[in-house]
Amino acid sequence: MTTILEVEQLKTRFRTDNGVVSVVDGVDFSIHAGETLGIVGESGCGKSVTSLSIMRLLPPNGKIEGEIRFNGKNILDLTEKEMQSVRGNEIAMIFQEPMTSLNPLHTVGRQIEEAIILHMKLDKAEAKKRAISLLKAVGMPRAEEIYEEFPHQLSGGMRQRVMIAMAMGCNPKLIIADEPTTALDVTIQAQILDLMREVKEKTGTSIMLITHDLGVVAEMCDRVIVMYAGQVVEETDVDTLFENPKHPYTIGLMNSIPELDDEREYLDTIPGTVPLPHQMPKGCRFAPRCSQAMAICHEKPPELLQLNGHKCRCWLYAEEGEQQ
Amino acid sequence: MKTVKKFLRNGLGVIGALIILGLIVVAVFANQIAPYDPNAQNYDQVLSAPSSEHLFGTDDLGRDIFSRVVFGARISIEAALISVGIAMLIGVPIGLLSGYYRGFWDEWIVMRSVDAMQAFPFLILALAISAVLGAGFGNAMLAIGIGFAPAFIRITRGQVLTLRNMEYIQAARSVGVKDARILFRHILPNALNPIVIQATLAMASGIIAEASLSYLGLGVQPPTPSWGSMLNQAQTLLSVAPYATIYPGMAIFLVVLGFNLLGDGLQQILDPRVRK
Amino acid sequence: MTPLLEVKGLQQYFPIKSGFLKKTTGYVKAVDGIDLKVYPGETLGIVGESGCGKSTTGRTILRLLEPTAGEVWFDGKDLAKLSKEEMRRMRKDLQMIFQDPYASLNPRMTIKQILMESLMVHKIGTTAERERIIEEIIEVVGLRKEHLNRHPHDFSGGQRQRIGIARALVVKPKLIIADEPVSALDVSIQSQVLNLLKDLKKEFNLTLMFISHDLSVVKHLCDRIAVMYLGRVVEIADKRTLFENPSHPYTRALLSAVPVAKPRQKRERILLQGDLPSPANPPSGCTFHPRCPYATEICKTKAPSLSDIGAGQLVSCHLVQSGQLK
Repeated sequence: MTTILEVEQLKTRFRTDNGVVSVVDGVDFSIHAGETLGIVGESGCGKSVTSLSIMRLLPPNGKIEGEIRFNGKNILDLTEKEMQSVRGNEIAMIFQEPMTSLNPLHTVGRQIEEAIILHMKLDKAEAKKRAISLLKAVGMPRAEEIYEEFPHQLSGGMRQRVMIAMAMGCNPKLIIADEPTTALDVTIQAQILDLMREVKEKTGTSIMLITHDLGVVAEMCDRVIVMYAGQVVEETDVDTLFENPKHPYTIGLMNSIPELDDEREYLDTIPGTVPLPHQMPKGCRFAPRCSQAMAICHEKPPELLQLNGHKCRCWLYAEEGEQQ
Repeated sequence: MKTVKKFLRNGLGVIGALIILGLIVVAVFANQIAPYDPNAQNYDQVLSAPSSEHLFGTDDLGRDIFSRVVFGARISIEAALISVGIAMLIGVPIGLLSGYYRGFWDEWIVMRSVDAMQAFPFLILALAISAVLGAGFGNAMLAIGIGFAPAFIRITRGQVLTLRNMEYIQAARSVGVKDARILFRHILPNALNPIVIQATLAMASGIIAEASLSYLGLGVQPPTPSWGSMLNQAQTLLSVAPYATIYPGMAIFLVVLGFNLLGDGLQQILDPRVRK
Repeated sequence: MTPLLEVKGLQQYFPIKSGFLKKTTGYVKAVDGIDLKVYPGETLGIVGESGCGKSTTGRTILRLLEPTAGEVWFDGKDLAKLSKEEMRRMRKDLQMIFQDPYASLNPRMTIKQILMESLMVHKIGTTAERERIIEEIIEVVGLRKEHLNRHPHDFSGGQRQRIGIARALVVKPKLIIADEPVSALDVSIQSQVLNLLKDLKKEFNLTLMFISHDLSVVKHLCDRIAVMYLGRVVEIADKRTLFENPSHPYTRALLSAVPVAKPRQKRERILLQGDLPSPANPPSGCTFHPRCPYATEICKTKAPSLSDIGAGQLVSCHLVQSGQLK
């Protein structure tokens, strides 16, 4: 399997009023061709900043360290101009809020064409043809008419379809979708998830799906990374994650969600809240909220252990990790 | 505390605040600072150029211009405070009620009157009002205050319109809080920042307006020293004694600049839309 | 059992104004004739997607919005007919928990002032008693006395929602309407707040109307559930019946659309076509018919009404009522 994206020791810091804070702190992962990788975590875990770091779309007070190799090249070494030919062309992004990520003053067609004309060097007529076929591909009724319409004339679900059409525009090798269905209703979410699966099967593009919803992960992903407080705490394939989660945070997260076939009287909870970036605990970052924390957890930060194709950042598995 | 620190980092705002502070000190200690009685006429020294004896020179009645500028600071501060005070007294309650209750009164009476008043150039409006009321400092203040009121109505109403839909206002209503308390305890404190900014900026215009009305003879009456009336009286002497206009003019410029810098500085820290 | 709250034919129409003279050219029918009963001690869930009118229903019942038509019987009085002042006094018995814990607390007031205000406006207790009540309630919701003198911005989202719950509880209301109280929270915090609500239900024998878009959350907390679509209730049933035997085609689609955190479990999914129609111009007949996979001729012309199909399950669908759809 070819690896298209490799992220190594990614550290993203921001200068703020509280000094320099590390929002992403030493993240490693890779994405293979044609694979959907899920990144799960709650707000503040660094999952969105990770994706913005890959796109190099951070605000000016952000600084990236580490390596992000896309097709073997380190993206962080590219000039801004070279980066522009990657963005929207080889790596495309779908955002959470389709309303604010579309320009209200431009027609749908013009926004889809923009990247196509820029990267694929098509002329206006060809670009229009492609834009309309893309709109049809994402299941838009009346594609020719919608080509001429403005974002505000579309519903939330339709706008997200437009975003997906835009992302598909230049046949990217990787689509980064940051909470693509969070702003949508469940019945519309089901339509969009269906569409994303279809796009992946047809084009063979890889998808990096960022979400807080474990249900969405279970339905969409091949492999999953769980992030907590700016670090990867667990990584494995989707079946193993749901059948045999290892990290206490992952387990806590799964048990705190009410499910439709759930008969529990009370949900499990994870006490406390996520630590702030400038007040990280000394040892394991989850230790203060962990029911299984030991003395060492409060003292020394654990490494991301390799456990037979299953990675986990937790002292509970230290012995198991040594044996392998 | 944090707000104060943030403000201190804003250089221009601090300069503005220092200018205003200086103005207040001068106004309060005018008796100590001014070397002469501002109204004492000295026919031996009519229109003498600036010298060590008369720092800013003397006017056509031999009065010490420096002393008159110092005492003029009092008038200017009074003008700023009183005119803006009147404007707020009229504008803020109307804006609050109008924005909170909405409906016919708000849309057709209050806002259309505001539109009509703001369609006039401000000075013409103030002139017309003071012409009706008659000359004199008090009437000038009232005229300027009325002229400024629409700006306060608009800004207060705008704030109320956003705030009344905030969930915590809905929450207060759902708890059973009475309208008056919602208006004054929940909405007004949260609406205050832009009103304070507007007030600071309006004070600058208030000083100019007072000076203009006095210049036109409708404001402060002689012999009370006001920067505007000083300009008025000195204008015929412009070619003979330019210093008689330059110093009061510079005083107006400096103080207006001070209020504007302070207003902008406050806006930087208080208004989340401007804040970076 | 007599219901604590009975809503009859409730409507909330928002006028659409256009033109220079702001003439009313139409109405957004946000709530279009709703009947509901809430019994003492139960939790009624109201579930539906955005734009279905569930939040508007809650706010109209509490008269945060003035109803266009309909009756709201509570404790022997029609809330819709009370004067403003009578309604204000009534609010002691009807409280609300809001969705956004960041926006629903006045940023300039301390927690103590926020809680004290509720007691003050309803003239409950002496100053000393009020202090005691507040200290008690803050611990009931899982915060500490020391927190009382802080401002909302000193708290996390979950803690703020606890404060919002304390504000609703402090006057000992007979009914609480909670509008999406956990949807702004992260899952691990959401479960803390849901467990708290469950405890409070038992401890205070609360009657709760719980509005949410999240079916799993509604199922976890509620006894009976009403499903709304485009301003109307399409199905009401007790929790078990609704989830085991969903009848209305919309309810079925809604249930099947929820992603399940079990990757190997492949389910039959009913994918609805198209989007929610605009409530300003709802479809004729049954408003669900353009998206309904089972729609027939009658659905396009005649609007169905809620009727009992057994075991207290009310469904508003011609096909279910006539037995054509099992």
